[in-house]
Amino acid sequence: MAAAIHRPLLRSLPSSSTSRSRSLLHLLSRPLSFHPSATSPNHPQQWQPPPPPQWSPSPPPPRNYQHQQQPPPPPRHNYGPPPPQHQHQAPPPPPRNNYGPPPPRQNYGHPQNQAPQAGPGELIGMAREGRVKEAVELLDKGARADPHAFYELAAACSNPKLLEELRKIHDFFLRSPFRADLQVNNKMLEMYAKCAAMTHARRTFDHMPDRNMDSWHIMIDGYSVNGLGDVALQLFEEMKSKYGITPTAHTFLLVLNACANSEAIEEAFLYFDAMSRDHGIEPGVEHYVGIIEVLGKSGHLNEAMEYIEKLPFEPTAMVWESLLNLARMNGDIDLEDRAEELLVSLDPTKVNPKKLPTPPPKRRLGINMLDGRNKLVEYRLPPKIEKKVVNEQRYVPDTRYVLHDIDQEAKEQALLYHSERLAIAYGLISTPARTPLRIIKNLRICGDCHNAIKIMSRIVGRELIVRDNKRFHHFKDGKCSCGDYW
Amino acid sequence: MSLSKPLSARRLVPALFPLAHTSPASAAASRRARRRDAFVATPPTPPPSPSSVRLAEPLPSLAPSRLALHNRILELLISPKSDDDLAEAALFTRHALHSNCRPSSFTCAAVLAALLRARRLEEFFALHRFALQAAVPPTAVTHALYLSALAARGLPDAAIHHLRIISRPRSPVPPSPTAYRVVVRSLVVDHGRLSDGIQLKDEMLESGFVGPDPQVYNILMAGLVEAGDGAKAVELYDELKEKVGGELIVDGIVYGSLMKAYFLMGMEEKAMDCYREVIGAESEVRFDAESYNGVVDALGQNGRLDDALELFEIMRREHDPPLRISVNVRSFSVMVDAYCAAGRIDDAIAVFRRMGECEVVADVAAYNNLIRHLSLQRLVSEAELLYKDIEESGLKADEETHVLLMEGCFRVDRIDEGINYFDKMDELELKPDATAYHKIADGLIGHGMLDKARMYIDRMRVKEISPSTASYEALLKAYVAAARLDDSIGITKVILLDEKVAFSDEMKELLEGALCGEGRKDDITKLYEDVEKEKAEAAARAAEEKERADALAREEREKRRAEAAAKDEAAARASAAAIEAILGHKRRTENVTGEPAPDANIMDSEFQSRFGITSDGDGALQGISSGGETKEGEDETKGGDGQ
Ligand SMILES: [Zn+2]
Ligand SMILES: [Zn+2]
Repeated sequence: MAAAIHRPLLRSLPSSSTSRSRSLLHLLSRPLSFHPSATSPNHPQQWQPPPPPQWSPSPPPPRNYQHQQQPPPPPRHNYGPPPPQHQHQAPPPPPRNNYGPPPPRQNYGHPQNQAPQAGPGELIGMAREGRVKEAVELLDKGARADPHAFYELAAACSNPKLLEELRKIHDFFLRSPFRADLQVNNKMLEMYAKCAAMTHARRTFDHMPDRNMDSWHIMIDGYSVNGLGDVALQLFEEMKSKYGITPTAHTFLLVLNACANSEAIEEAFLYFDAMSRDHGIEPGVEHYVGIIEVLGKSGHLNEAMEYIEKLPFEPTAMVWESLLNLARMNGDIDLEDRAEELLVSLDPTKVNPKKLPTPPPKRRLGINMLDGRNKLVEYRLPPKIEKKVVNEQRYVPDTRYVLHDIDQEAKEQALLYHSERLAIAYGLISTPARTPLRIIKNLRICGDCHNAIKIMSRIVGRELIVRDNKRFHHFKDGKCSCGDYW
Repeated sequence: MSLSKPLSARRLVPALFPLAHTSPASAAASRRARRRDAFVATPPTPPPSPSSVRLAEPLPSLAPSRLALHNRILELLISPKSDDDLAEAALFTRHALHSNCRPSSFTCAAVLAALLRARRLEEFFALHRFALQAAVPPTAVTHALYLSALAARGLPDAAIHHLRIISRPRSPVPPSPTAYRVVVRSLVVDHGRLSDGIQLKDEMLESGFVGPDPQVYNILMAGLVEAGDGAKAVELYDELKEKVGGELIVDGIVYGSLMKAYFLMGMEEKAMDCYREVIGAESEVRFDAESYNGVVDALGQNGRLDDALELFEIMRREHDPPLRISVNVRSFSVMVDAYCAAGRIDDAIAVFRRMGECEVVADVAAYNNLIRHLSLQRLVSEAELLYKDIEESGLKADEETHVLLMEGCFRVDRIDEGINYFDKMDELELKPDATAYHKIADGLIGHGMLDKARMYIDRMRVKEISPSTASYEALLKAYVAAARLDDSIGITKVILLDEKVAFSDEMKELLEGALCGEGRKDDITKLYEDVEKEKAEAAARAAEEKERADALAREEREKRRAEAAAKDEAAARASAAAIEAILGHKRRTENVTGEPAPDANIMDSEFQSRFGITSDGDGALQGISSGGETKEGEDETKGGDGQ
């Protein structure tokens, strides 16, 4: 189902304007990290490489919150290389619109290759040492893996940067005779969830030959931790109504967690009541804590405290620890202190390191950035915030929309704005707070931009240095060094 | 009170159960409908459609750097080394909003909470507005903080307005029970607007977001009791009971107000029956310190000191900090009130001194409460001892403390000392309000010191505090009574020229009667004429000012219009040139490489150098090796030659 969605996307990618603006953002926001191994031209050609998975070049759904530094997240191509080998490969792989297990390859194990093949033991060893990329290369070269090796290899792909590798491993697994192995399949679900690739997890899940309770739990939990609590709740409802599976105490724990991540307060209480009423599961402390988390994460902190005070049992350390974290998350210092006091009184080992004397944070901000050849003086707005800034702040949304436009229809829209403003807006969101920003422009700065930049410098509390073809303008605190004569 | 017997959460915390849905499916459907147009994304990612509402990003999905920023700011808030740390936290949050590491909604809320706690409302509103403009989505916490700040600023109507907006049926982030409590309390306690409070309670129940909250009901019941309407308070209690299913209300917060209502209606038996029912060992009602305080107060203020004492003992036995807090500093204040109501001042002082036994620390409000009782009883030296205590315990006496001491001194005819207490506020940078000034003026008038009183009224006007009608009238009456007619005319003129107060008919009669009695009828006419003349002069001056400002604004507008026209033209030219430049460049690139889609990164560096964007943070954070300025300058010339 998802493959059908992805294919058109794949075709639309080469459009030059989108790829240009997309990669622009990419370049400015994160280091360039290409994996030479993946594009390596001296790929052994004696056996046909596994057909590229059809869905691989398409990105998971935009998951912006994973990469905050990144300006408008384009379809994600940050980790993997552009997939040239997919385009130049001949013969084209058989179309596989469906993600169902493919027929096992006849030549599994690569009989053509006379060199001694790496075995599962080697792969497991590499996986445990975190050398996933090398292991994938070995698989490419025909190394044999068994279920245990697949399990270990998948388990090694524990962060989104290894998604590409995980997908390759998964692909080899699907081509192997063990593709129905439940443990490995569950591990795949788990690792896709860890790589924030719930679309892949779901596709895998939908095509698994059998599932057990763990599979459901991994999926529900995976959605929750990826901020998709609502999808988790939908899946839970599907599990009960469509598949008639009886939830366990652990399921409810995961469901409450999903509620907490989608501010579903009422549902949480209704599920909580249903637990004992419909399923005969008596709630444990952890379920009460689940409710507390639902309240706290939805911003009902006082109400969470009230609920705790009215619990049918003496609150345990677990309860106070949860409240402590919720208070810290919401920045309620008084409640945090109270929760901490209670927690420590119940469990003295929980003394928070935060309370121990720590050296005060260095006030010299942007330490690394300011040391260097052209060190600039740190600058801050005076602590008093003038009321007048209201009008001036209106400029900010404008520049945001500039960015928005550049991402969507770079060519026409972007140029309606003067390049220096665009550049500043762009520079602001791709660099740390309180570092000076330099812009170089080959034309003379216009009066409107000069004004706008003065205002910007005040609002964002940065020094903005613009070099035009005449001189340097140092904007700070709403003023320019040129004294408006230029 | 049994703690082991499980009670349904619905009865324990009814506020959390709006009873709007019976099944998770329908609750989910309504939640999804509310959030149909909502999306989660970090700015500057644009909304999928203009009508979309941005929601806060869930904490688990935040990048580590943003969590680190949260912790860094919390550190400034938790252990501030100075006042500047709070300002620094606010400023840093603000600056970070336009950087590569944006503070989350939670971080902003943490700083807002700290600003509110420090009563730095100006900064609170500034940051709140700034964050909203920078597309930081508000959470339920942000809303509650904003409402509290509006209440603290004395803007209940703005608070009601905001609350109504966030409780509309399709609201993506509906209000919490706390939001309603804050606004209802502001209406009832600070502004005496009971009927508005009751209306808001009804809206709360209708909204389907918040259930029948005993705390909201209690604020209203207490307000009604204060206003002398016991019957209506009991009616509200019955309504609450019906809303939670006709069973006993297990939240103890309502029972103090209920008993006071019964006492007020002369139904002492009923009040005591209620007391025995809810406090008894078998009772399911849960009491926290605040709920107990209400009941102790009801007993103490209605001649039931023995019962109050008995309950206070129970509270102290239950008190087991930090696990169970059943006594707080206000408990001691209500006990002081109870003793004083029975005329036992010595015991009141004794109980005040026993706070330490319960690990309770007195606050200024507790000191003020006892000082009030002492000064009413003319025990000024005892009150002064307490005043010294305040300093020694590291607290700061506030305006109320000084006014109470002043009143105490006046009561025992130690006028100069009283004045000293008042004047001391200036040294301590305290800001007495109109009520405080009225008290000193009234006290001085009572002791026949009219000139001194007049001096304080004048001082108020200098400090831009509007004197109340009562202050003026007291002085006018005193002048008339002392037959100081010229001064009477003088103060009347001031009253007539002060647009914030009305000159009542009663005063008019009083003044005219006195002047006629002395045969100075002409002076009356002259007075009114003078006032009219001065008013007209003031109006003319204002009109002139306005005229001048308008002219200036007009000039400014025209200038700006001309500038805008010139600018638009220039912009159009520049755009055309830039488009041409890009297109030209694209053609060149295609010719050179012969590929339809040039490598993305070539274009990137091209773009970057076109604009010459560099930041000192680049090298460290982004790992971009940006060239020196010279090189970029060259690129610039190359890339920009089409412009
Ligand atoms: Zn310009
Ligand atoms: Zn300049």
